[in-house]
Amino acid sequence: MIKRLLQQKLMCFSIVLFSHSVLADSQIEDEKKLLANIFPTTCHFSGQFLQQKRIEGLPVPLRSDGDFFFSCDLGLIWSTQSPFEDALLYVNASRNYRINERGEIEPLSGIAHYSMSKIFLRLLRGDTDYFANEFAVSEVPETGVIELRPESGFMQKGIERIDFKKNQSLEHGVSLQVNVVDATGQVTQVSIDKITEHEIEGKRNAFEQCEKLYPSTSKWCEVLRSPARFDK
Amino acid sequence: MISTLSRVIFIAAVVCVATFFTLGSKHIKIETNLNDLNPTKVSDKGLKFATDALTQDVSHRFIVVVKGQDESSVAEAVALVQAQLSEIDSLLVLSNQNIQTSYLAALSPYRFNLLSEQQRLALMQSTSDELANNAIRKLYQLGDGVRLIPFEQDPLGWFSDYLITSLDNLDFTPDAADVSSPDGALDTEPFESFAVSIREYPENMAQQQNLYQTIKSIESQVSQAIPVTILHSGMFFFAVDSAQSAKADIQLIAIGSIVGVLLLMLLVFRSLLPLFLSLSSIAIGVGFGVFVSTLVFGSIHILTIVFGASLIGIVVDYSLHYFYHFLSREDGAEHTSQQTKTLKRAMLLSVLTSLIGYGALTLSDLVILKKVALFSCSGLLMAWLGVMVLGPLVTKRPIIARQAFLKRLIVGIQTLFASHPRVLICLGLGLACLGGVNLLIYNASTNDDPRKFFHVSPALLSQEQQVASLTEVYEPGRYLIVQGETSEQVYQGLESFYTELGADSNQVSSVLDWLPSPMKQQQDYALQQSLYQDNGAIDTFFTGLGMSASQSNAIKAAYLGAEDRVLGFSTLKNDLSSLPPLWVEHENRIFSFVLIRKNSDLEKIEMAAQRISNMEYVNTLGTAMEALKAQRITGSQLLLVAYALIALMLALYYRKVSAVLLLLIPIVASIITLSTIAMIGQPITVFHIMALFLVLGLGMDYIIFAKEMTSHQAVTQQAILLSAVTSLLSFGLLAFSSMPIVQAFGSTILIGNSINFIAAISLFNKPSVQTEKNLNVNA
Repeated sequence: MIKRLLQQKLMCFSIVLFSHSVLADSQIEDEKKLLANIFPTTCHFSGQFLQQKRIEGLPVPLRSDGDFFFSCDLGLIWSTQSPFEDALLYVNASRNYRINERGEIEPLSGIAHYSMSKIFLRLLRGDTDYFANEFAVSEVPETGVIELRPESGFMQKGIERIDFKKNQSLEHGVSLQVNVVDATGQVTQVSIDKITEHEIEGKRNAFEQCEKLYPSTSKWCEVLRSPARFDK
Repeated sequence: MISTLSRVIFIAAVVCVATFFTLGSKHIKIETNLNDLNPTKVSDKGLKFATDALTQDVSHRFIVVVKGQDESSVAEAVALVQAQLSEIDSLLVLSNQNIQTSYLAALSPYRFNLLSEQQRLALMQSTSDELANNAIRKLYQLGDGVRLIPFEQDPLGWFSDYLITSLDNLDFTPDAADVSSPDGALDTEPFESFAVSIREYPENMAQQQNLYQTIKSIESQVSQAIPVTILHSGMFFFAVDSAQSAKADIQLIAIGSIVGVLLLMLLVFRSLLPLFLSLSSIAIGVGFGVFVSTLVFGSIHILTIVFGASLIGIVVDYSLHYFYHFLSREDGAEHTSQQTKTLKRAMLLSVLTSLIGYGALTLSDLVILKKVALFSCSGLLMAWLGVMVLGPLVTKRPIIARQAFLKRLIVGIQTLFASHPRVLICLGLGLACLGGVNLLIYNASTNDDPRKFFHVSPALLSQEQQVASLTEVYEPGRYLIVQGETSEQVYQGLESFYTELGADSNQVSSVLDWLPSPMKQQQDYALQQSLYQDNGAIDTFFTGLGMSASQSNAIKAAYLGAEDRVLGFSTLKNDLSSLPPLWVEHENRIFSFVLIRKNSDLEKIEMAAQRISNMEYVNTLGTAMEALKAQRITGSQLLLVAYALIALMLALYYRKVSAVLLLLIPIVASIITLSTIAMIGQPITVFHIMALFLVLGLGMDYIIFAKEMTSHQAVTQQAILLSAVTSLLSFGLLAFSSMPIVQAFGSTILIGNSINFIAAISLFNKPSVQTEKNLNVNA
């Protein structure tokens, strides 16, 4: 009798365990689908951006705009045109550079840049696995907004929330809105539009595409291709 | 008169020991500190205070590393381990985040005094407009803006930049990508590490073991709940591990010796009275040793107890010799006063030679050997006094020993070795010569590395190596000390040293990386005037953002209010207790430590330090090894001095130069012992040399009894046999210890004393006595 009860209990326990595992897997799959709908589908693209930052204690919002180029093989150029000219070069999670007002390349230091660039590069690379594993992904009803909240305490120390919204129209094409609310309350809104996808393959072609987009500042493309040369 | 004095001293000592154990047993502390093996002497009291503070701080910290498949599970496990460790009152978790938060809170009020090198250059080379524009550009940058303090308190973000740059330079742990596992393979698993400080170090072994088990249990629970590997490293774990090994050794030696002595006494005397005296003398001796050690050193070192446990085998010798002298004569004759006088003389000489042997250990600079010497000498003396005072009470009743078996055993040994004494002498001398040649020509291997003196469990060692490869940022055991009477002197020394190193100054870490000197703080404050003065960069900054210049009034007022406010390192250290003791103040002197990063150019750093007058380069392992080598060499020289002194004593006592030849026995025993140890591949250490003092002391013990008690030769030889059996039992058990130093001691005395015993029992036979003995055995 006891043995039979035990067998029944074990069976129930196994079913619960199995269903938990299946539920978790299917949840991650659903999250990946949501993200896949809004994330870039190609590996090399360029476009324009509009950025707005709200800093706690600063009564005015900081608006800027410019253009960018992203390549899975090289990294990201984030070139601000207004209110002044400035550029950031994100090669990978730990190597980032800034073009100063004299046009010189200087390495960016500081933990804030590392974590922010890491997330931004993964977003542009369309790394759905990373976001599905690290964040709780949900769709805000009737808004088309996909909300990401970090699951680990480690990530929660830096980021409170990331919102994505993808818009598509015949007139303006595809545009993507990203809102990042960090742990200090600072809100960064980035709107990406006029996206051009480049049908190229390989680092060499990506470099040539980069030179075409930034002919007068092709040195930036060299930084992305061989960052070690610019470290000193 | 002497007898009365002995009794008074003995009774007073027994009362003291009994009172101590009854009322003050809580004061008995068992120490497990491994530093007692370091012979390095620091004569400068201030320097000693500073290095002791550093050593204590290091020994009271440990590192925990959590490795896993992904960052989130590592972070989750770290949080869980930290939370559970924080619940233990005696522990303080020093996570990087805690350090950074405390550092930020401590520096914040002094933010106008702090500038990075880049900021200093910018202030000197740029106009106010350029500085303001740069600050605005930074505000707009993607990814920038993690402000460590609110915007109002640091609108230009200069303090945040300074702190982020400083924390980057301090770099508590290496990058995972740069880490190699001990076998050289690249370790790519993500990991996090954090330090834990032991605020209240457990006083005794039980508490240490309890804390150790609690930590292990937390690690085990977390690694079962989350798929991560948790490693730990720290001197605390080594101390607990060594203490456990020592505890096992103590149990083995003490129980083995006591059981051996009990069996021997019961088998030979079959009476409880002699057993009572033997056990009393052991208890009094060991008790007095504990009492005196606690009185002098405040505690008893665990290794003292290991060595002390072997004392049982020596202490029991006195009661054995005493009883054998007072054995009931088969012919019913009484003992003459001359015979009793001879016994007392032999007993006195015997204890003196043992005291010289153990006392010679104090000649070493090793604190541990001094502790062993004090424990053993005081214990031996009191045990001997116990036998001399209590002995007459026990021998009032006739003592009968079962001698037949012992006699047969002695005859057996003598048949083997003493049939041709000259051959035995020649063989001994021949072997000693060969051994000496072997030692000299083949240059016996030596070991002066203190790390190899201990037995450490392979699991703990493996963890230590893994943790070191993952987290060790600094060179272990190497650092620099700069000292001065004022903080400015110390800072000047450090700044000159950094200048000497040039670009390589990033290979070292000192207080300079945590806080600039008071003078530099004042200079940096003055430099920032161009930022916060009227119409300065701050006004341009606010105007550039489209705000009113009056918005800058608050920050300008804060700047003015911070004038003359300087942060000293000792204040910072008080606010940031997790900081390592890089700054130690003692009696109007300041000592500051400079840590050296791993894989640095050590030669260049040492050369640069030599050019700074108030700086010293310290290589603790190298110094300890050199000091231990010196100990080994001077120990050998002192052994020769001890031989010379005993030779003088023998020549004066026996009034014959030929008496000095008696020393050939321990000399031969010592050379053969060292040669055997070298041949079996054991490197010779200072502990082997120090054990040779005991080979001399114990050897002379046997020889003196054999030579002095010739009137009762058969009985004396039985006493020597029993004495040797108990000593060899104790030291033989030491030879099987898991600790290399204890093993070295035990094996040396085991081999050396066996040779002493064979010689003592084989070379002092008179033909008449030999005949008498044979008759007795046959009867």
